[in-house]
Amino acid sequence: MKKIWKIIGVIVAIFAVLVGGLLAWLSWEGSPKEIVSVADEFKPGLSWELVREEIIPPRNSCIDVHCPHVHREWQSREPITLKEIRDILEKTGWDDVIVIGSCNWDQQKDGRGHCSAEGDITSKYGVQIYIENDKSKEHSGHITLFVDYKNRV
Amino acid sequence: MKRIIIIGFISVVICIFSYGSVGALRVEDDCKDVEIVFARGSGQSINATEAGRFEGQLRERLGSEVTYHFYELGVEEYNGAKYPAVNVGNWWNGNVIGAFLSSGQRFDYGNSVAAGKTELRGYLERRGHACPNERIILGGYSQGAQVVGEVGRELPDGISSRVDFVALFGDPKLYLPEGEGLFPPACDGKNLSSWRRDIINCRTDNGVLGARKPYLSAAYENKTGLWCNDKDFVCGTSKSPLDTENHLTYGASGAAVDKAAREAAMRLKESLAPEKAGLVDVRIFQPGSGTAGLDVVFVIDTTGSMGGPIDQAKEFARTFAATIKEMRGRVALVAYKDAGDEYAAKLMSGFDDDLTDFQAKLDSLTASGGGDNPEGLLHALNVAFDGLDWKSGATKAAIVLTDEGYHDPDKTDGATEELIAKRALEIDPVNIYAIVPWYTEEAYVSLTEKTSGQVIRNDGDTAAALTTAFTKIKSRPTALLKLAEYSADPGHEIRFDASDSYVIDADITKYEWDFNGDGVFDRTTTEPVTDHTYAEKFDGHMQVRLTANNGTVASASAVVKIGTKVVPVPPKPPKNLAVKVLETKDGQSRVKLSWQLPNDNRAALWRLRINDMPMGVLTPERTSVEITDVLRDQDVTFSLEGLLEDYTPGQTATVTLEKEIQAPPPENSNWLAKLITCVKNVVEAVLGKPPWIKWSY
Repeated sequence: MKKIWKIIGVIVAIFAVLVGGLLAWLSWEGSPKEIVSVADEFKPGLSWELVREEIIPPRNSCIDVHCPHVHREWQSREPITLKEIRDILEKTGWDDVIVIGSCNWDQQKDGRGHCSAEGDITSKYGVQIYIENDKSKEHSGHITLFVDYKNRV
Repeated sequence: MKRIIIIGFISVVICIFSYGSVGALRVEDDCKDVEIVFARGSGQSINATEAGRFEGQLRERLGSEVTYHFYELGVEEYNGAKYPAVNVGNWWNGNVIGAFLSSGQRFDYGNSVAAGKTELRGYLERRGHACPNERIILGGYSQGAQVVGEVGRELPDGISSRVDFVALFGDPKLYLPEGEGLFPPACDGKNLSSWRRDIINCRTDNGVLGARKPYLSAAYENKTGLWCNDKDFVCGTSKSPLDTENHLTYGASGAAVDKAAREAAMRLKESLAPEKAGLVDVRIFQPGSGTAGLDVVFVIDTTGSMGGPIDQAKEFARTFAATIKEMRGRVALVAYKDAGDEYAAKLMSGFDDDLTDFQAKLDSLTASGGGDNPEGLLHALNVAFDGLDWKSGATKAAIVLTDEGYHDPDKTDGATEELIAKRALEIDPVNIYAIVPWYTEEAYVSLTEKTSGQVIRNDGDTAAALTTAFTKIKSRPTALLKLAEYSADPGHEIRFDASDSYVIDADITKYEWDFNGDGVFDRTTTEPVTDHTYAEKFDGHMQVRLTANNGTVASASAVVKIGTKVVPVPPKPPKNLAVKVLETKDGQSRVKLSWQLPNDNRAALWRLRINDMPMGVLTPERTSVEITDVLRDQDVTFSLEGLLEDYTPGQTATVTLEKEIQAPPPENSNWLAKLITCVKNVVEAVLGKPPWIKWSY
């Protein structure tokens, strides 16, 4: 009888270790340092104000939330021009990031203009940038930056 | 009494003022032509990748003249609810287990979905009332797809009739009825659900949280697109919990969100006023590559006479990196000579989208050796086909650079042209483009035609010939079949559908069908769909070759299995399944489920599910069962399906008991009570309802 309890105890212990190990593996979070340093290469305009920042570290289990991931949003009083965004990308050295659209709010009846940029920035990471200009708003420019694994960009 | 009236009056005043103090709600913004609403996935922040991309893509397509208003669920509160999109990435907060055990209907996850539905309904009703002429586009990712999918049946007709398109990505409540069973009817390619998009696995039937049945109300069936990437555990194309990487790629460039935006734009083009509709851009922006990009292997002859062309190829490689990236491409390199030389063929560089290694290996190539004129190309192609990690879903090409013919059969491994063509087809297929001088063009016609590639003449300017090859690859049609595998019995008709194929700035003019993969095209059509019946057993590949009016061709292939498995006849569903409420107390009912046995009943057991959760099995002669403690806070779906002795399921009969409206139960704020409730739910989910345990707190 004692032996049976011993066997049950061992089985329970193995099961507990396996479950614990699995949970520990699923709960692991690495350091976001690498992806943040890549995102930090993007130098926002001097007058831009950071309004949102989300940094997700690497994990073993990523469901819905992209990990690792950097999401930053800025707003500026003045609309962002195509030249401005191209200059920033050039200074950053993100040569493979291609700008799509013209950002030109001034040629639109509603005073709104949009453009975006996307591409790979390292052998591991890619970037998506969205620029929304709306002259009717107090902060006319809104810039969103996503840095992610490049197959997700 | 007077005091009550005064308190009541003050309360009303406070409510009115507090309502007015909310500030400018998004719902009160100016009316536009189009209203776009998106629901994010679990744990995501507002304006996350998928939501941002969805809005951005639609904005591009609508232009500046067709105005739109974008609202993302969870930004504001409507009908007293604000969508929190609770996180399921944290395994310690219990949300994953709660979602799984309740099929996504209860606990924090279920409450999050319910809040999203309430907010979406409230927002659309208010916005719809204020802006009665706006057309509506809805989108949702993962948990958000569940929210948007479920709310469809709750919207009033006045709103529903203005919804032009609903885009769902990675829905954990996916349901494709044609994918059910051990040998799903979907595998014959017929009667695929109208909401199915890019789901190439015919066995996909339900998401990780179980299927929502019916998946959509009738009004939404033809205006909903459901994308589930290959090997996505969340929406059910994989049953492995480790397959979550593809769940994170819906918002990638050229992927599902972009395709959905185009489809939404096409619907808007039909529903908007003509002066606006004409401004909507429905052109294809996707690169000319498959759903997973482009894989290109360069197979280069390095025998003595190739010195010049190799140097030119090196130069060209430095300039085409941008083109490869634009096409989401990867490149690899194989060098070859002939049997008896320093090497017959060797894999120099595996597939990579970073061209550093490729260029370094290309730079290291030198031309030498070679005896007789034909070389060992067929062996080199074998090395490329077997040695490289070809990506599923990518379009594939091999670019051969040589100035001589090839041995057939090969002197090293005996490979023949027929075998290479067959192997190219099996991989999905690999189209071979041969860049050769005029005097050996003829020798490559057969091989390139069999693999739906082309011969490109090299007049001495190798870089120009390579550019031509790439231009052809870039501008050729992207050939796509609805399914990656088809199966049926001999004599059963199969439908092959290549209607998802597309070509940029041209039209597809011809579809050629090779039903047994022998390289002989058995039928030519101008329509992208054809039916075919295999009279005998077959286990191999079929292919379709598309020709566009820009002079390019491309092909797609699929596995076909005819009569290779003994298909058991699944049991019929029970007849006249009905549910009767016997008693209701404290929001819980005792119900009786009854049914009649079908003629020729083959069921060895009946499996009962409540809201998609398996509740147990019943002996085959049973025609009724009583169920106690049925919670009535939501609609309850009872389903009964017959099982064969090996548990092969048959068709399901379903009946729904509508929810009973009642006062909300008091909130369990006590942590102990919450804990006991959680333990109770887990125990009951695992053991059923043990009669010896009385739960109280």
